Amino acid sequence: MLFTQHTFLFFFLVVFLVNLITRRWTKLNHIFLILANFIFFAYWSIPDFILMVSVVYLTYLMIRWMNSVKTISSQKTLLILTVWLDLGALILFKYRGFLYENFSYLPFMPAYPRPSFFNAILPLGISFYTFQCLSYAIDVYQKKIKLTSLSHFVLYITFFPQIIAGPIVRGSQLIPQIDQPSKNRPIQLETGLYWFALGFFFKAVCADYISDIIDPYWISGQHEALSAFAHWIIAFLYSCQIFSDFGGYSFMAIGLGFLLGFQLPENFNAPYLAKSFGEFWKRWHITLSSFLKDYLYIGALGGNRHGARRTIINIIIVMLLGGLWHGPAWTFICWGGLHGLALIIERLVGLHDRRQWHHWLITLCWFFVVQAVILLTWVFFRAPSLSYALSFVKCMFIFKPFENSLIPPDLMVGLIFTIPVLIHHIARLPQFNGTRLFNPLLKGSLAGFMFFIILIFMHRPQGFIYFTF
Amino acid sequence: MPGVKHTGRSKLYNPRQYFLAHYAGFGFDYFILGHGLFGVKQHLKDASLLLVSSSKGLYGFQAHTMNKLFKQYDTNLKAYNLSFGLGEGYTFVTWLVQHNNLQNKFVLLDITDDTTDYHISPQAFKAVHATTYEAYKEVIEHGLQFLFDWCLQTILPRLVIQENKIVFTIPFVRGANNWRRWDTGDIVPELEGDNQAVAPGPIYINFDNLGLINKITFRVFDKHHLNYGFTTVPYKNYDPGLIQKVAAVTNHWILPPEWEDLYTKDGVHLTKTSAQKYSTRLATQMSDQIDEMKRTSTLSQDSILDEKPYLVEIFPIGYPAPIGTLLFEKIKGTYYIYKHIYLQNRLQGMRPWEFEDYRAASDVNTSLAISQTLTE
Repeated sequence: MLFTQHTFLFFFLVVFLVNLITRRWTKLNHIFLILANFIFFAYWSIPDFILMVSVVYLTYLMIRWMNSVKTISSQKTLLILTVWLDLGALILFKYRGFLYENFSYLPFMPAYPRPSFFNAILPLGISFYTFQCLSYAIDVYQKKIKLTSLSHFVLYITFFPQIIAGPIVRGSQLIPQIDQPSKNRPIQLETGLYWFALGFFFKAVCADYISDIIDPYWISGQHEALSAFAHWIIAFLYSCQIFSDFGGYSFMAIGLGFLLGFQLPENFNAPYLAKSFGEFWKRWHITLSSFLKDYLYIGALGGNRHGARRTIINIIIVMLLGGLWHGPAWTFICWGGLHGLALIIERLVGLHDRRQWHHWLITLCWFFVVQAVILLTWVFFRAPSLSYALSFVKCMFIFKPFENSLIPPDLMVGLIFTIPVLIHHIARLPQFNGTRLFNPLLKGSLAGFMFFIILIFMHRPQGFIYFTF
Repeated sequence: MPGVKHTGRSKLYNPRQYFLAHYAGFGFDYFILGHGLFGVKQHLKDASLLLVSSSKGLYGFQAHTMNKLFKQYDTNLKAYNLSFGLGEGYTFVTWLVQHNNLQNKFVLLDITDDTTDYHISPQAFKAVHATTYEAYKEVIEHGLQFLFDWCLQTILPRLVIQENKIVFTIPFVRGANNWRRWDTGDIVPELEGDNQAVAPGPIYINFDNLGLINKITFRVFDKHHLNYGFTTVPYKNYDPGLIQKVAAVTNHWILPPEWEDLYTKDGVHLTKTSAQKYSTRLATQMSDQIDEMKRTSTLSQDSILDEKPYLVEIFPIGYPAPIGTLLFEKIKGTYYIYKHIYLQNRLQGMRPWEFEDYRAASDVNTSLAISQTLTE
């Protein structure tokens, strides 16, 4: 069930009403919500559902075991086992095909043709729920949170608005909300509807239409006749598409959370307003970048505590793994690597520290550099192969005679669908005080208006990009 | 809304009697009939005569008309229209027979330019690949989409991109949305009007150029004890001699086409009145010949060319990707396509006129096809 599908809308209507009725009885409410989560997931795919339940249950058993042992060394051993249980599931189900492709020359690898075992079909949401399990295990080990009951843990991990494509919610963010009596969780109808409508609007109106327009240019050779400027436009359109798609999903998830009485963390904060690469990662996929920062960069690698050289290595490792997390392909690794490189250069030049470079002209120039590099990196993210990405980037810098420099009319139409993305970013500028503008009446009116536009524009519901990660 | 033509709400047929066959690019009938959903399987099992064709038969056969006559003639036959649009051939029905385990029936195969070679449409391909659970899901999701759109029809316009412009379009319910009867598979509304007379023409087609209907379809029919014969739903410039040729090769019964006083709406599909006439003639012919048809044996074992009907074809990159990148696989830097021949619709499944283009394209990448047979 896609959030934009009619089936989901009917499903959610039932869940919303039953949740409303059962709120008086916390246990009953939890049982119902877990059941709703299971139905939502199993509706996608029953084998994926079985895998998800197995991983979640085994993780919980391991965490409980870890929590019950007394010695720190035993706890550490069990934590490592838990981490490898989740990472193992991720590697086995997500990366086995990629690993075979890249290590098939080794003598112990099975001969060609590729054995069917290595034809990995990505189980739904595995990148997200394994990371949530991991974060919970580490937080319990570090005594940041207490071990909760199995039912609360299952409700937290499988909470359907976020299980397929995030936000990656920490235990400390959701479990306290689950622990309190259900009737104490306020249902924020107008806020929920506003966020849901906003996400739906971005997905159905912006992302899907832009996708229809630019997808042909990502098929081999289609872009080559275009001018360099048109290539930049395509990259810009894709940057708006992916924001509308993934951001749209996250906004919808947050809205659904509000409608069920839960507050999910923000995942996007106008990322294209970032004035530095460091700031971009504080605004883009916030829950993933904070996960990588807390558990990998600082937790596992030591952050910047071991000198400048080690810091650089740590950044590159984190960004490469962050790229790989998005998918088993070199294009994603390259995307992560380029961002890592950009972060390092920014750090070496000192532009990451705004106190050193406070002149408005430098800030403005660096802003444009940052945004241009971000557009370039999106090419690697979207391209079907590394060679295709390189040829696309090459075309972005080859300026052709005037007659070839015109923008195709379809791309001009595509630019219309970027206007809501631009407005959304402008509305997030510090000059506009969002809280003052967005009172409940305005939120409700905006939500209604967006639903109206969706009804006129929406064609066939399309899948979300991040469902494949 | 300016520029938007008010067309009125489309008719919603009684869901107890009819199901939506096609809407907004989704073929409900492929999933419902293919997987025997919502009790259709029982109708298929109960039927003793399956009428198989492309859209020509979908509009040309009227199972309910034939059933009425069979009752009158006391023939004890019950027809079901298993024809599908989109130029469908026999491949999908071959799968359908296996999937629903249909046995001991007559099958009337329409031979037209659509059905002379082994191929499958993308819609049928999707249905074949779906599990029954997925088929239910697809049907429910698209059904809800139709209902939702139907409710908004005439209330709201729709904006679409056409020729690089954002324009208002007329209906909320988009495209053709034909309905079919649960009990007979007949389509409604049938085409109306008497526009173009049916007549034989200069197009002459060969049957089963690729030999796969013989290898696969007829073999599956034999295994399921299906007694099959041939006819041709007439259309403008059709080849009336083709079924004679096919019958001679396959040693099967035929119902020779009679095209007098038949009309098509568009040169291809019979009108409702003509379909009724044509189906009446077929039922009469069948009732007259039923004993003869029963005596005619099914395909002799000698003519079965291959004991292993299912193939896997492996082609390096360079071939046009017909279905989508899902069929590609990269092995040591080279891309391959893995396909089940009886599920795939290229090379083996191409229509003859497409086949030539395909071969021309493949000459660029010579020594490509490595074909190996596998047993299902």
